[in-house]
Amino acid sequence: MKNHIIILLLNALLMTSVVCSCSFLDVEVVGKNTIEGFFKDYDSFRAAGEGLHRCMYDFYDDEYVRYAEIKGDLVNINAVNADEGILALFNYNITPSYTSSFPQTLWKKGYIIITNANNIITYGPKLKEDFPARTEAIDSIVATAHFARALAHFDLCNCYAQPYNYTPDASHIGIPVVDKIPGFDDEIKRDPVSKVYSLILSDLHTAEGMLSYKDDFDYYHVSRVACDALLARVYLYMEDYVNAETYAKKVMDRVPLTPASSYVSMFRNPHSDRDIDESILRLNGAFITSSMNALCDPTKSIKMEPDPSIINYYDISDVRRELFTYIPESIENENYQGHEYSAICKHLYYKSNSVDYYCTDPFVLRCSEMYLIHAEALCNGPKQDLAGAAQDLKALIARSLDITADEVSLIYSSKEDMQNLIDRERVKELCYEGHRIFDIIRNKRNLVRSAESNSTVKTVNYPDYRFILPIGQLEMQANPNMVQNEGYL
Amino acid sequence: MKAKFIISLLSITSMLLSIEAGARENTRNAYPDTAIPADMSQQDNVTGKVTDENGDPLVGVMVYIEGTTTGTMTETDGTYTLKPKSGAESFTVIFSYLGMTTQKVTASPGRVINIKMQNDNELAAAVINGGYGVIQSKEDLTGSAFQVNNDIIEKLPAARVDNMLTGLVPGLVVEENTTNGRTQVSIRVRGEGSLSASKEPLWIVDGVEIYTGGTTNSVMGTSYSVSPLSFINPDDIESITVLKDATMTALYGADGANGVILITTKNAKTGKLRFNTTVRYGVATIDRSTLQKYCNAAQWYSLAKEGWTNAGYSMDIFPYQDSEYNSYSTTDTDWNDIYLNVGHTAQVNFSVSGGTEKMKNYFSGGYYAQISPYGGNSQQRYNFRDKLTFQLFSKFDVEVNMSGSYNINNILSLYSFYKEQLPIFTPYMPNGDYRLYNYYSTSTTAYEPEMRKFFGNELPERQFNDNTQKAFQGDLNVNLVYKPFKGMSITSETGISLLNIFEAVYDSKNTVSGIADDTRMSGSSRRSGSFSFRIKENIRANYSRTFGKHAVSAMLGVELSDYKYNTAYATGYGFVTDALKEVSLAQESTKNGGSSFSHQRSLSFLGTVTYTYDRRYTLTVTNRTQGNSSFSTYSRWNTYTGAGIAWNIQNEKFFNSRIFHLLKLRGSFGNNGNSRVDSSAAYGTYNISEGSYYGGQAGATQGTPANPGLSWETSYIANVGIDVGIFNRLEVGVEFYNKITNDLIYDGRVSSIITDNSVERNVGSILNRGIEFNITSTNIRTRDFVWTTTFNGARNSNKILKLYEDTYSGFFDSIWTVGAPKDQLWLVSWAGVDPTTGAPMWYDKDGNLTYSFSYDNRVIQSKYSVEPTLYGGMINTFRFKDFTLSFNLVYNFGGWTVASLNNDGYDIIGENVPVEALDHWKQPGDIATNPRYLYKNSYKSSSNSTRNLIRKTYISLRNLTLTYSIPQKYLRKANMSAVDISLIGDNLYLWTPAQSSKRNSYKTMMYNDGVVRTVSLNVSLSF
Repeated sequence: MKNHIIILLLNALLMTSVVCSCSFLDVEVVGKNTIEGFFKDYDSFRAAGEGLHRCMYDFYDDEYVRYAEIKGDLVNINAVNADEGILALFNYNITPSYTSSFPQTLWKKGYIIITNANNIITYGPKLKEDFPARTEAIDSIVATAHFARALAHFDLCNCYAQPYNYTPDASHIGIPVVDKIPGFDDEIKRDPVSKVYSLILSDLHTAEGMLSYKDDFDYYHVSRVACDALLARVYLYMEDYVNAETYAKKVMDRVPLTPASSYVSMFRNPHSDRDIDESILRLNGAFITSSMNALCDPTKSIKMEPDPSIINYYDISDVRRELFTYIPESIENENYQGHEYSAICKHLYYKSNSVDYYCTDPFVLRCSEMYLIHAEALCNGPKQDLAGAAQDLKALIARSLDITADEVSLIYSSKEDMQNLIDRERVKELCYEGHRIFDIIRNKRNLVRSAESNSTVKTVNYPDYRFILPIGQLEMQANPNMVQNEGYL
Repeated sequence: MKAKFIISLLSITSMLLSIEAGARENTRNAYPDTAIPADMSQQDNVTGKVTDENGDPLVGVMVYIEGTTTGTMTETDGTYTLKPKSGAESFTVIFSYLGMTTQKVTASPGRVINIKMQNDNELAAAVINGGYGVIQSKEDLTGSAFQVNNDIIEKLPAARVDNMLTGLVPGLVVEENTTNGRTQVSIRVRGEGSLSASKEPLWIVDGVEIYTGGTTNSVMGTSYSVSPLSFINPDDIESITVLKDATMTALYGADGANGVILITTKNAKTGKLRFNTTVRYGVATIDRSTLQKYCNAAQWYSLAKEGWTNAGYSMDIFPYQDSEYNSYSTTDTDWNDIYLNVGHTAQVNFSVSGGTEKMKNYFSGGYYAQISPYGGNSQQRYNFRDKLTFQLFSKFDVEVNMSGSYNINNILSLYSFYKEQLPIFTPYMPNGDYRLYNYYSTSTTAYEPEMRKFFGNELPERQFNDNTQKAFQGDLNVNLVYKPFKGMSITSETGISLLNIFEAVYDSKNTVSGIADDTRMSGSSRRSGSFSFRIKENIRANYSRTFGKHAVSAMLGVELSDYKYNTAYATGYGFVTDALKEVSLAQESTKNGGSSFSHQRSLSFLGTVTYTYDRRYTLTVTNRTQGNSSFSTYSRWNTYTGAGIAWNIQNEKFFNSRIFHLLKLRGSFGNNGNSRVDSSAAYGTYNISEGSYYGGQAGATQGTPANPGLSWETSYIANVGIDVGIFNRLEVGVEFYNKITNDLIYDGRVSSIITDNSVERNVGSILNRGIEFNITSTNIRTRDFVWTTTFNGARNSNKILKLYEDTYSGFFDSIWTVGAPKDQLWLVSWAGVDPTTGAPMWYDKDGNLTYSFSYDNRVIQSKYSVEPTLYGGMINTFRFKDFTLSFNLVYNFGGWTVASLNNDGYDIIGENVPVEALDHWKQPGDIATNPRYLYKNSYKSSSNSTRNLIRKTYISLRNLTLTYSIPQKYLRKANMSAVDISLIGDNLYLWTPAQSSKRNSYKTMMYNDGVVRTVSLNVSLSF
């Protein structure tokens, strides 16, 4: 009898401790910065949304925009002060072993955007259950994450893979599609470009569905209009001209063009008041020391300056010409005063007007680009609407010269003529904003630099393996599933 | 899997219980059999009953006739029947039982001898306490455990318990990386078994793990680390057991990989009240012969002038020229004199112990104080311990064990290069004030003297600054023990351990660094605290019985533990006066603060079974299944198992040797783990930081990615041992072990898509293989003179088997590479001094002579192993009548280390240098050890080469104790039971090869600030 009691007692003790133990090891982690603990609170979730924008800023203010421009034909690199990686990029002799900006940091920073976006996408739905009153706000942050993930995949694919139209069905090698938080032991391998683009499209459409149009949208954060605008660009790259036209038009109907009077201030004094602004998405560089600013500032150790021939593209009264001349202001070192510098002013704030004049607000999307996409889509689309395309270009040119569209005349007789006009206008409008090299390769053009270029490489004929970056050595070593780009083996 | 384990746990429990029930029935049936038959010789049998002190029958007592193989064991009712050989008339019967005093009785055939066995007071010497109520006789031991009992440690320095183990335990290395004494020393049991996780053993006091500094081995939350191991009063310790192999450590599962050190405190003894008190006072000085030898003023002058002029500068512009502020030419300061004083240690301990069978109590109190010979450092410890055991109901005991320790530590962390202060500076002004400035030039083009702050003078710091820590450590252990029937006990053990530290650091405005200037406001204060709280609940059943030739001992249990650690700090600058040193009175804008919290839980199911057949064959199996909240669900649970066997050959019938009283073989194999890793790695972090802010809004981004697969490191240990005992005089134990640690956590790379930073991964594998021996010998044993020796030694060789990339070279002087020991020396080979020019020479990577130093020329110096050939210790004890003399040696032979002794003049104008600098090249033809002396030379001699290698061989006389015990005949009159008076010397002598009074050697390089030598007088009284 006694034995039975003891057995019962003992078993009861054991059972109790086991029952207690099922959740015993799940230590509450609120108040700690573990990932799970962090995402249990709405305010930290919102901070993660801001942090994601910062990741995009860090990507655009540095490697991404630099990459597109240094590899293009619109800049000269001041070789005395330029670092090795930048020079290698300029001279088309990047190797996988560079562990600095190219190819490694660009890759890393792009995937940092994707990583942070994936965290938000993973934890957002669970948070909605805990904070039902915040559903709309949480959705808009999750939509931001989808947009950011699409943008980063698109940008990385442009840098590390041949353009979408390189093969008829885009079956050529792209970049790894990372649509969830990867584990350390997961196989991460490169997907075909078509698969990358289908993720981009699905993410953008998801984001679209979670966001609604707002008249006074904040262009420093992802919005519904930004989704439309990016879709327009993606469709253009895919040569899906019908959709490109549709989405560009959607945006053009909602967003005005910045008039000539405030055009320069849009770049050089972005935080000043402007009644009309064409910005769709730009990244807020306030309080951050900009890396593009440092690269372009002629009073510092200048590394990137405009190719001297570019200025000749502009009419003497073109407002955009102003963005090529830098006149040091009174607050600067007197050694520089009285000089006039040829510089890329798109990334240089007016020093006297701004407290944080080492800042830049890089553009991701603005409406002028939509006019150019629209024109290109009409020109190349099934309708071949050259007149429509001309109308778009005239709108832009008229704005730059501060005249009416009727006063602009364009001479063209064929689709090719029109495409050339569009190309030239893209250069004039979007130069130094991170488009140039991609425009060259997606249109299957050769790179031809001017006679004044100080690069050792003056021409690169399309196609060429050097038009895209190699995968970095660090990635190749750490990831056995990674495949190197052709030509860099 | 968890559920399955529970079921098996329960069924084993039930099985054990039914075995017990069955055994009883058998006993009852057996009665008539033994009672009825009677044969011819039965009347010659010696019979009787053996009981314990309380009169309860004792089962399994060995009863045998001395000098024969005739013997038996007592039955479950304590009775025995011994059949002597026919014809024997008188013989000696021996009654022997583990933990009881062996008794000898002269008997003749047919006698009835009833014996009451007495508890053996030397019980502790014969058994090994493995924790969780598992007490094994040394005979049954299959694994590796080494126990140090209080008689060995009671006369050692009482400052801290870890330091006491130096040289006492085979295979255990205590590395004092600072002489300051209270920061963590590092302890390695059987080599380095990890790369980035903790390599320290687990410390357990009376069943409760104590915090010794986590992964980093230093206390979190305070700016200076004072080891909690200095909060324990060694006088309370009954024994310290070091568990080394898998059968012993698997019971400690996820924390056992680096060995487990169990501290068992003293227990109450029944009987009359015993009062014991010890008083000790000691004087501590620095052993000057162990201090690094630096130049005096004249030597420094000659070097400085030579270096200065060799560099092409004129003596007219020599920076130090006498002025009314500094009289350089007449000053010769030995900075050791300034900072090193005479220290004192004092300690008073008392204990009261006594009680009845129903209730007994042990109470102790102690005070320890040390004023260190390193000025500005002191330690005080107040502590008490109470251990109460009482019988609440019949078969139901309660044990309450509580202790508290309050510690006050004052710290002056001397700038470790204080010896490099120039001997031509003095710490005082002529009027006796502290010197805050010196007047000299720093230019190499002209003599342009200026008043310059004298940061090297730490006397003002010592006087005006505060650096105090007050720590309270409290432990409470409550055991409820239910003993339903003989051999069985069910215990609920609740242990609480808390540690609360408050640290106050204040840098005065009267010191050079505290004086206000453009960048810094005067006075700086930091207040910080850490609070650690651990609670543990262990429910277990212990069973231990002997049935005839079968002995079983088993334990099954569940353990839950919960551990929380909080820290907080506040800092501020800018105080109006030094009297207002609290942070709240600092300038508002300078105030800053922070806090942290960590929380860990673990749940374990554990069990062990030992079965012994006929005292000849023993089998032990140990298992612990443990889950830890630090790891994410994917790898949360792990199982550790150990199994061992032992064969006591001396108990075999065929082995009838008059020479060997012990011949035992044992072997074990199993695994254990190391969970002391940075646990955030498994979950990943998301950080709010300025680098993630966007448009001025708080932003957050992922810090480290989650690594849910991160798991604890696992070690597999094989252990083989042989124990030989000869003539009851000499016992030799030799052990071989092979320990492979897998899944070592270290930085590895993953795709930069996951993260571009290196991340903690289970990437490596390391092997530690070695041999250990321990010899105890009674060399001479007469009535008046006894000489005993214990001597131990060990050798460990370590080899990296696997790393993420085959080589990790992120260190200056050492490298990790597969196939070589961890921290293999990786240095440029020194080629000597060119006799014609005095230029230093090295060999490049390919073995060619080169005149320029480059890190690219480092090669793996496999000739210079970092591992010692042999290390260990030796204790000799001589007892002559009432005098006892014992001395304790610690030794280490072989192994190389890098000692930066060389200074070729690069900064001779700014700092003093070791005397080796005098042996430099002076003129063509000189075969010198050091190159031409040249100020601001390009030799890069601060970068190490093989020139700096030094062999780590030493023998140290750690302790010498002479004790006089006052004879009993005098004591009885005074109603006392023991009075001992001891003269104790610690660190009396250190020997190293090539030691010299003129130059440095390992003797002077072994410790940064020399060795503290203490001579004390100890009186202990018992009545």
